[in-house]
Amino acid sequence: MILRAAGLLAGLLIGQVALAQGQPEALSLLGRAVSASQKTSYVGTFVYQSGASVETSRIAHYVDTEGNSIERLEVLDGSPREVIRVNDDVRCYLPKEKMIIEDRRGTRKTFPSLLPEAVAALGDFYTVRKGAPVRVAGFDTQTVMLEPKDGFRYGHMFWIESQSGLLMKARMVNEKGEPIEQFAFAQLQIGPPLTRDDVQSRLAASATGWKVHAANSTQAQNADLGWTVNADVPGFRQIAGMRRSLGPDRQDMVHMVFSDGLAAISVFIEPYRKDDGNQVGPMKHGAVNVFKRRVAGFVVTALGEVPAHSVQRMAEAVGPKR
Amino acid sequence: MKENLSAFIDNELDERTSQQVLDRLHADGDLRDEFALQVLIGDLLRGEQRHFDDGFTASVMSRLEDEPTVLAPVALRVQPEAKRLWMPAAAAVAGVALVSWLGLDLMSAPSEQLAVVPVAAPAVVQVAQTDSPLRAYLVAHQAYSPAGSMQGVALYARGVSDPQTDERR
Repeated sequence: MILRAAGLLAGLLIGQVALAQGQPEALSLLGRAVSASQKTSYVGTFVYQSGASVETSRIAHYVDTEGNSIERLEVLDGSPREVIRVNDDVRCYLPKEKMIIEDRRGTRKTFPSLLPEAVAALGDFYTVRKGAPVRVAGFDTQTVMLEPKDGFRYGHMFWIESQSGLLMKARMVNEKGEPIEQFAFAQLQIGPPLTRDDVQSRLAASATGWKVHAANSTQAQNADLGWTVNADVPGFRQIAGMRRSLGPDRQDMVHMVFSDGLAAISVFIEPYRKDDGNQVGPMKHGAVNVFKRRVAGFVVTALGEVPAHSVQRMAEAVGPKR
Repeated sequence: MKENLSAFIDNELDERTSQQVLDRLHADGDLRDEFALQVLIGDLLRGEQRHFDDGFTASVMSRLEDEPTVLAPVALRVQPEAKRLWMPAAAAVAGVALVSWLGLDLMSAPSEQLAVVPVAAPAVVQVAQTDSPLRAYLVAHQAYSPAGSMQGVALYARGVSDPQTDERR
């Protein structure tokens, strides 16, 4: 599978890529960033900007001797929210709401989720090129730019540290060329001596009695989910489909993911309940656009880091399988 | 033969066709180069080799020079894509997007690394309440975002971000 994708990419490189000089190097840099983010221990402070909001977070990534990847993020502004990731299992502690959001998959990724076949397709929907080297937080970085070829996706820029391959800064740009979201390290230490304690939750002990909001997947890929999405949002192909358990007294939720190789749109379908309210239509959470609608007795929500009309189109194409 | 090569690398051919590919590989130097290139790209994508060396780039580039006519059909292929855009407005937006991106001299402003990036005016849509189902959706979504595989847990700053943080300062 991977090799066939590689073959496809080879075809792409040979046939198409002259459009963008430096595309192979740019794609290779993205591949390095994926691998570095999983294999490199680091600790640092980064700034997240979205709309008018700016938040600083501390982050530590520890790779143990067995290759387990454990990460801790603590938001330093406002309420001290914390995210702990152990391989693919994520727990978010939200002290203000006294809530834990849990996403467990129980399996380890065997290869990065930036899939080769998706990387191969990147060139169809983005012009990928390497930019000039610049310094970020004291490190020399290489830049990779992905310019969208249509209005269904945003532009992306990545600053990748030259030695380690770590992603130092990422920016998303809207159709007007305006930055709408940015992650940037302000300070970073690569390969520091860390222990398991450095990535241990500080909130878990005091989180007893908090509401746990879990929607853990119960079913693997490609099962018949009973729903179809007949949307032509160019480039977005289904990359995952699963049922998620919402608890013993509720029907499972359906979650489908569509991606163009870089951006993703999720479609969630769950039975309508009175306390869900009647809010439908377009919404926004930072740089993430959301579109909600009712279909029969269900609530369909499409969301993703894409323009509003892309999620709307996806949401409107959802229907029960006949 | 090139299609067979991909299938051969993926071990998807029957024995007879595999043997044919092997025979051709023995006989055909160009096909061997092609084989090496495809395997190398596979390795790179899986992160098993860290750099494209100059020889590799040169080989891709020389291959491009060998096939100059390929560019024309590719350029044409972009057109039907644009026509298929659902909303006519979207097509206009697409044009604008490319133009404004190109016009944006991003590399010339390294000094704004930590300065506040000028942000877009909020679009006129309802701001989603920071309701727990939506936040859970965001967290579930993040796990599948391909960009997240480069950013790790940092991407979750998006899901747990609190739009009111700044207002309270």
